[in-house]
Amino acid sequence: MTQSCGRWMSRMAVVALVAGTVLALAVPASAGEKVFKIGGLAALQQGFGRSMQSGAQIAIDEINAAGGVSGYKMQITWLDDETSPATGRTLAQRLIFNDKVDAILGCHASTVVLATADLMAQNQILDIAMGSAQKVTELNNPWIVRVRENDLLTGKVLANYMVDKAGLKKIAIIYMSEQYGMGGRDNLIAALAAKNMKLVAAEAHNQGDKDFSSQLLNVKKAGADGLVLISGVPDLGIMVKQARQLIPDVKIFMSSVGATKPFMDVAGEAANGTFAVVTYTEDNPNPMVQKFVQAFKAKYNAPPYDFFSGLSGSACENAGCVQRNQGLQRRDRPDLRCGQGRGIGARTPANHVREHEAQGGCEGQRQVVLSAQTLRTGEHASGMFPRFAHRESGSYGMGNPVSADGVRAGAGLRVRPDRPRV
Amino acid sequence: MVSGLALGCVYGLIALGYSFLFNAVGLINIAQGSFVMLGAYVYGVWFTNQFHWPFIPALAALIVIMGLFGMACERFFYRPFKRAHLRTVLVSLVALGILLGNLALIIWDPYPKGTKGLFGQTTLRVGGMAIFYQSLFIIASTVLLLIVQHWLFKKTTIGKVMRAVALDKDTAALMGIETDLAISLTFAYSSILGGIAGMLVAPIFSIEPFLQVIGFKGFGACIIGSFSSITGAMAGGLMLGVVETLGSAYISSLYKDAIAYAFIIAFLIFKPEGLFGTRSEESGL
Amino acid sequence: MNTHRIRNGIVVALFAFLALVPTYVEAPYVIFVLNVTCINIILVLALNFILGYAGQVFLGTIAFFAVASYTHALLFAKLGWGFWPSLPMSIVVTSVLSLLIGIPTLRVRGAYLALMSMGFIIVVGDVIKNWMSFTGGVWGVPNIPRPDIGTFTLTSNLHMFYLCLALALALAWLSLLIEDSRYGRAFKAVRDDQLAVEMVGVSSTYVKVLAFVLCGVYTGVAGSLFASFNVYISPEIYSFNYNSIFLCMLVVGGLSSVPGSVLGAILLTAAIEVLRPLKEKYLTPLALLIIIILLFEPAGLVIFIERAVAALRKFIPGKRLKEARRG
Repeated sequence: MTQSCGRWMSRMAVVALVAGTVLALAVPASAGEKVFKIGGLAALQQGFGRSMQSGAQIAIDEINAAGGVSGYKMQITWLDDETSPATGRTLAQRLIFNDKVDAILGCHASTVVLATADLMAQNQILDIAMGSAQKVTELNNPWIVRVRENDLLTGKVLANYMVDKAGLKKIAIIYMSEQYGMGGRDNLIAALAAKNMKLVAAEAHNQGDKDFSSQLLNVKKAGADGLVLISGVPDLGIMVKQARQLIPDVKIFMSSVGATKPFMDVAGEAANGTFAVVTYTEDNPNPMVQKFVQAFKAKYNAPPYDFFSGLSGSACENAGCVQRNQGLQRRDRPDLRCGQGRGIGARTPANHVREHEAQGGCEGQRQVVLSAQTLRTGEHASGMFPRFAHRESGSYGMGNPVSADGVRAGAGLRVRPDRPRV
Repeated sequence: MVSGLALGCVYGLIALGYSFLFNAVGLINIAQGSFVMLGAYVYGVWFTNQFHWPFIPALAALIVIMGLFGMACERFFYRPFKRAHLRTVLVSLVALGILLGNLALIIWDPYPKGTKGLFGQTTLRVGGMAIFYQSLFIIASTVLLLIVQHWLFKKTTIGKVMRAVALDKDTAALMGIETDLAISLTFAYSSILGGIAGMLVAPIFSIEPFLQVIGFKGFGACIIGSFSSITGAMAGGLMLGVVETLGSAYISSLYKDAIAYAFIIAFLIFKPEGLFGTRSEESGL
Repeated sequence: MNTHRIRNGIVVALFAFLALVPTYVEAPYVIFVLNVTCINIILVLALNFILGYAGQVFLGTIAFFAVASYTHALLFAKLGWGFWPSLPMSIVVTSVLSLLIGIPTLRVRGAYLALMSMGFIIVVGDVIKNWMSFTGGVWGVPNIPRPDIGTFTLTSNLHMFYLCLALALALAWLSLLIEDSRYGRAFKAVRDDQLAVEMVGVSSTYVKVLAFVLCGVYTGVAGSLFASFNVYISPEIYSFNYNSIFLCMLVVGGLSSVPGSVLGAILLTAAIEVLRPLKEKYLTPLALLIIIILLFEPAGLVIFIERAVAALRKFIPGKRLKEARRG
C-alpha cells in the first residue's frame, strides 16, 4: 500500500466514524407495529452471556411466531457489558434512553445489577436480573425481579443436603474471590451456622488461577470430607480435575455453575460423581423443559449449554406480565398479558430434594444434581409480588423467592403449565 | 512442587519464544501470549476435539500452521514497521494481541473448553503425592524440545543462518545471507514454540481467550532469566513457576499473581539483565 | 508560532464542539456519553505525559485511575467528606503513587516497562479486590454522591457534563502551557534522545518522574469525576482492555499532541458507542484501527486537521498580504 492510499484510508475511517456517530445518535423511527422491547445486558464475551442470548432468542421467536403477547411482538437488543459496572451503566442508559426499551434483561453478574439498580428505579424500568447474589435481594428494589436461584437458597440447599442427607461432618469451601464466590461463601457459612456447624477450611482463589494445589492441600490438611466449590467455569473445571487427584476421597459439591456444559467440557471425567445445585438440567423430564431443549437443539445444533438459556427465555416471555402483576405499569408502556408459563425450572414438591443422575457434557459424565427445592417459611408475601426480600419460599424456577400464597395471588412467573394464564 | 516445575517448563518455553525474537530482531513480542492461546485453540479444539487426529499428525499440523502464522505476522506486523520507532511497534503488538483475542472469541465461541490431552487426568502416585502424568509429559517434552532445538541450531544450515542473523544482522547481510528470510523463519519458530506451549498447556488449563495472559508470565520469566541466552530463559521460567507455586502455598493463595509479578518487577528494577544475561543495550527507548 | 496558534485553535474548537452538542441534541444518552468523553479526555491527556511526552511505554495508568476513583469514593461515600475536599486528596494520593512508580521505572526501558506496567495493573487490582475491609472488595463502593457546588448538587447529567467539560478544558489548557514551557521542551528532548539531553545538562530522571507525577495529577481529577459520575465503582472496571482503549485513543488522535489527545478521546468514545451493536466483537475493528493508523499516519489523525487548517490559512486574503509585505 502506498502512503497516499493509507492516508486516504485513514481519512475514510474518520469520515465513517463521524457519519456513524451521527447515525447512531439519531433516534430510530418507531415501527408501525406494536413492539415490546427488551434490552439485554450481558457479558457477551463470556459463555453465559452467549447462553442468555440464545435462550432468549428462542423464546422470542416462539412468541412472535405465535402472534406475540397481547398483540405485541417482542424484540430484544443485546449489548455487551463486559461485566464492568461502568459499562453496564452506560449501556443501561443507552437502552433506556436511546432504544427506549420497556424492560431490561439484566446481567448475570450481580455487580452490574447492583450498579444499575438506581437507574432502574429512577426510570421505572423493569429489570429481570440474572445475578444471584444475596445483595441484590437486600436492595429491596421493587423494579428488580429475578429468575434465578439466589445464593442464599443455594447455600441452604447445599447445607441441608451435605449435613442432613450425606451426613458429612467436616465441610470446607474453596471460592473465587469475586462477588459470586464471596457471596456463596457467606451464604454457606450462614446456612451451616443454622445447623450449628462451621467450616473447617475456607480457601480463596483469584479468577483465572490455574493451579489450586495449595488450596486443595489445605483442605486436605483440615481433614474435610465434603468440599464446596463456588467459582466460575474454567477455574471450576480445573479445580475439580486437580481435586480428583489430590483429594479423591472428598465429596465435591458445587453451585449451579457446576452443572453447566462448559464446566463439564473442561473438567472431563473428573466431573463424574460430583454434586451440583441447579434449577435446570437438560434431562429434566418436565415436558416444558424438554420442549425448550428440543427447540434449542433445532435452532443451534447443540443442546443448551447452561441454565441461563432457559431462564432468560422465560424471562423474556414473562417480562410484560410481571410488570402488570407487580403494579409496575407506566402509562406509556405496553400492558401485556402473561404468557403461558413456559416453565423451565424444575418443579419439586415441597421440602424435597430430587436427585437424579444428570447425563451431560461431552463425555457423558454422570453427576448428581440437587434440583431446586421448595422451602416454605410460612411467611406470606403481602400481595406485592416478587419483592424478594427475606421471604423465601416457593419453588425455584421462576420469579423467586416468592411465597406460595403470593404466587397464587396471580403472579405470572410461577411455573404452572396446567393453568393457562389470562 | 512437580506441578511448579511443569508450570515453569511452560513459562520457559514461552520465554524461549520471546528470547528468539529478541535476539534476532531486538523485538519483544508482546503478543507471544496470543500465540500460545492460538496454539491451544488450534490443537485442542480443532485437531483433538473436532477432528480427532492422533498425536503425531496433530503435532505436525500444529507446527505447520503456527509456522505459517508466524510468518504472516512478520509480514504484516513487523516488516512495515521496521523503520518506525520502537514505541510504534510495541503499540502495534499490543493491538495485535487484542485483535487475536477478539478473533479467537469470534471464531470459537466464548465458552471455555477442555481437552483431554494424551494422558487425561491420570496420575502417578509416589509416596503420598499424586503427580499428573501430563506434568511429567510437559517436562519431558520440554527437555526433548531443547535437545531438538540445540541440534537444529548447531547442526543445520537453517539454524546457523538464523543464529548468524541473530548475532549480527548487518554482517550477516553483508555475507550474503538473506536476512529477511531468516527473520521470517525466526518469527515462525517463535510462533511454533508458542504453539507447542499452548498444546502442552491445553489439557491442564482450559482453552479460552483469557489464556493470553500467560504471555506476561513468560515475559517475566525472560526477565528473570535473561533474554539473550537460552538457558537463561528456561531457567527463568523454571524459577518463576516454582516461586509462584511455593508462594501460593506458603504465603497466600490469593495474592499469588501479585507475588509472581512483584518478583518480576523486583528483578526488573534491580537486575534487568536477568540472572544469566550480560549488561548490554537493552531494547528500549 | 503559527503552529502553536493552530494547535491552540484546534483544542478550543474541539471543546466548543463538545459544549455545543447539548444544544442540538437532546437525547439524555448523548449527554451521558459526553460526560464519559470529558473524563476520557482527561485520562488521555494524562497518558500523553508519560507516553507522548516522555516516551515511556508505560501501560498501567488504569491502575492509577483505580486508585484515584477508589480514594475519592472511599473518602466521599464512606467517610463522608465532600466532593471538593475529596478531589484534591485523590489528586495527592494518585500523584504520590505515580511518583513512587515513576522512580523505579527509570531503570527500566521499553518493552520491559510495558510488561511491568501490566504486572502493576494486576497487583493493584488484586489488592483492591481482596482488601475487603478497606475497599469493599468485590462488591465495590456503592452510592457515591454527585458533587455539589455550594448547596446545589449536580444530579443532572447535563450539569455534571459542564463541570467535567470545565475541568477537562482547564487541564487541556494546562497541558498546552506545559508543552510550551521549558519543561515541555525537556520532555520532547528526553523522548527523542535521552543521551543527548543528559549531555546538555538536563536531568532526564527529573523529567521522567515529572511526567509520571503530572499523569498522576490528571488521573486523580479524572478518578474523582468518574467515581461521582458513575455512582458505583468496583474492581472489574479497571481491566487491561480498558487501558488499551486509552492507548488507542492517544495513538489514533496523535501521540504527544494535546489536540491529538482531545481528538482521539472524542473520536474513540464516539466510535465505541457506534460500535456497540457489534457487541463483543467491537475490539476487532478498534485494534485494526490502531494498526492502520500506526502504519500510515503514526502521528495520529490530528495531523489531518492541522494540515487542513494550515492549508486553509493560505487562502485568507489578509495573510497573503502580510506575507507579501514581508517579501
